[in-house]
Amino acid sequence: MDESYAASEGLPLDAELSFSIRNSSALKQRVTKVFELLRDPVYRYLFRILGDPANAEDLTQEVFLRLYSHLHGGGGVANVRAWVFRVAHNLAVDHQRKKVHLEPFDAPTWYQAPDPAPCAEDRVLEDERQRRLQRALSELSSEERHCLELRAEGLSYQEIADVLDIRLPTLVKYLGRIIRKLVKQTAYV
Amino acid sequence: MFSFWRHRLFRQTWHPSFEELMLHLDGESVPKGGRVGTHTKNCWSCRLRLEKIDHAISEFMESRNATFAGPPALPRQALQNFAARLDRLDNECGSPRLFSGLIREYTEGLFTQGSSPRLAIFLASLCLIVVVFVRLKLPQPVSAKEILFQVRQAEARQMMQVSAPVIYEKFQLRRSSRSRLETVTWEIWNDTRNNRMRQRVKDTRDAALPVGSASASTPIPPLLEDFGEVFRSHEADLARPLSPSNYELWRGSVSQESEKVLHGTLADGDKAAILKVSGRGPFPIGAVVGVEFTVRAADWHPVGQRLLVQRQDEIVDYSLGEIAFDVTALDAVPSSIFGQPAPNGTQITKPAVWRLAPVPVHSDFWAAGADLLPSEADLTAAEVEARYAIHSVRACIGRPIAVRLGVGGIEVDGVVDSDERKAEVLLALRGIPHVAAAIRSVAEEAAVPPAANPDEAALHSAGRIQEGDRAEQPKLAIEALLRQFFTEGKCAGRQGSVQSNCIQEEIANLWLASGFSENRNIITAIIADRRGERKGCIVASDKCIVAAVIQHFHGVAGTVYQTYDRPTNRKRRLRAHDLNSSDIPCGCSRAIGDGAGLPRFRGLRKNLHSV
Repeated sequence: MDESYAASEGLPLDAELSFSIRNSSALKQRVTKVFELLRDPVYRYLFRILGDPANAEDLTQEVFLRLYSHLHGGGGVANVRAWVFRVAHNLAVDHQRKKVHLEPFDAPTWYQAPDPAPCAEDRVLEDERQRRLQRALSELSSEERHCLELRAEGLSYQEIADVLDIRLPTLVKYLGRIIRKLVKQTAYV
Repeated sequence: MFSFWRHRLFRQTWHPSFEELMLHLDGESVPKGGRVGTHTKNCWSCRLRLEKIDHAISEFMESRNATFAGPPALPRQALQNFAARLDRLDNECGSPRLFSGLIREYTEGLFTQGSSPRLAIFLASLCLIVVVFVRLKLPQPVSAKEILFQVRQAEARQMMQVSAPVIYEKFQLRRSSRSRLETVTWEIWNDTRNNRMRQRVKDTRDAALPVGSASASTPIPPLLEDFGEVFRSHEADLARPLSPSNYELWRGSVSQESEKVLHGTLADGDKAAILKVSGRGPFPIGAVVGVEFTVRAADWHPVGQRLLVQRQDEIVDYSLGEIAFDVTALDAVPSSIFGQPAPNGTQITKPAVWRLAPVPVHSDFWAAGADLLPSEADLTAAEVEARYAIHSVRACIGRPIAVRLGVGGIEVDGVVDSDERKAEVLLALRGIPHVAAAIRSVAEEAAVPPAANPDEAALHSAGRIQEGDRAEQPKLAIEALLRQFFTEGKCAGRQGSVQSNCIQEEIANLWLASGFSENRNIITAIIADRRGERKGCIVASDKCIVAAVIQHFHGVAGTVYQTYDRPTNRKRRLRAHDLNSSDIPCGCSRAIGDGAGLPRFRGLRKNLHSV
């Protein structure tokens, strides 16, 4: 987890955002602050989903502009992080729907081999491990990938359920199925 | 024991599910969180599963972080671009809306998922406010019985505030029919201490009739004459036309009545309770069709009454509205009202008729009442009712209060402890026809010289009654009946003093065994039986009253010899017609000896069934 995200974790991003901001500049400052705290997690999420840095950057800005419009119109946000990721998720889904066909899973995006192992035996083992993980990830559906990425960004189960608009017990079963697939493929015993 | 072993076996064989392990690993709240942690420490198998999950997640995250080849972040220039786009958006949107935002904020905040407790509190508070508001707005339900009780209590309180109270009432009486509308103004002075009443009437021309005039030439308005005729025909008390007793009388006279308690507002804005009784026809001529009794809710004072009386071709509406009311001391009343003030404790010469002819306003009109002497049956009923009234205020035992047969009426005289007690006893006796009460307080009695006290003999007699020496007292109707009953019954075979002692012993058993319990149904039973309605119900809970009722009906043995399988017996309750003298042989002394024969009823016992 990167430093900027770690710094944002300690802030009350899951708390209710004040709705009594009636000054434009104060509202802009507040949204800018939220943008600084959540831009990287949102960008990472969108980048992992879309696989395109340009689109991810553009949609990241769009997410926080929508936050400003929402608050400017008198709307309320109970959980800022959940709200932002939900908008990001919806934007990502809309963006994917606009494509003529769903792009195949971009293996290089999902997996870029780290530094080569110092020795041949370790490199073989690492290749085997990455191959099995790759296989496991390729078996995941689009929704399961979204769910896994949201969890990887540190959202709680309840926040993920809010973003995906599903019930918490359903999400637990959903994540359990995903982790089972990962465990099955990455089992070292 | 079995459940204990089953529980232990379950603990030994239980393992957390995959999802529970995952939740435990992610630090999410698990229902069995504590147990999962403890279990994984002790269970190698589950610990291995947990490590597998942890390993899979670690592998995925390592791979994911390696994808970005360093800390992935939005490019630096993205922040500047975002600031520029935000400024443009801000210029397009303008200033934030104030009120719409506040309203939307609050409503959305209420219905967001995380604020359900707040929504529940809000809704509960709203409901509570609505309930309290409606509760305060709606009038409290009150029964007619409670209203009449409050009226009586309020009247008693007013009477006790003044010594020798005189009640002054001014009414407007209106008679409306299809053809015409008539109105008179009517004033009444009621000297409760000396049982005197004066009245004055004014017709529509505001011509006042002389106060207390006995002149036959003074015409009484036809309206008041008609109104008095209604009272006379129903044996109502014209001295207190607006009284709860009269209302109860009207209510009882309406056939198939249905009573409602309504809430209304008086002309001056005060709230009022209206007792409304309406009957179902057809009605005979002269019958009361409906009654309305209006009571001011603030002080439970009756302020109006409406009587609907069936006439030849129409229903005439008599409306009596109170214009003025006051309770003053006798000393404060002008002497011209009552003439010469009556001395304290002096009884009316003819107490039996004063209620029927209280004021000689019109000699022709009231003379008929003056000559109307009560029959023996009326006097017996009056005596029973007077005894019950004394009993109801706990004055029948231990107090020198005597009830005796006077000239054309029942006389009740005696001494009580205080003025308040006197007012209470007088109030209890008020409204009973043919009864004249002369109750004095101890202070009043002490102030009267013994030689000048006209009731000394009566007082002494009353004291002797309490001592059991009843043989020398004037014979009351009930006593006479009792003597006759026991002479022909239980004490029949004895002679001379033995028989006399036997009779006195039997009577004393009845009188002295009386207890304290209120039972208004007995009076209702007597009155209903006398009218032939036979709708009263007797619950024989007081021997004193039972004795009076038994002798009044002169048929106690009917409770013994009547058919056992009557429906009333199954209900384990005596009714008035169970004591009907027509179907029983008189003279069965065993009925009295058994305690009115009640134990002989199937299943009836003295103390277990309020006997």
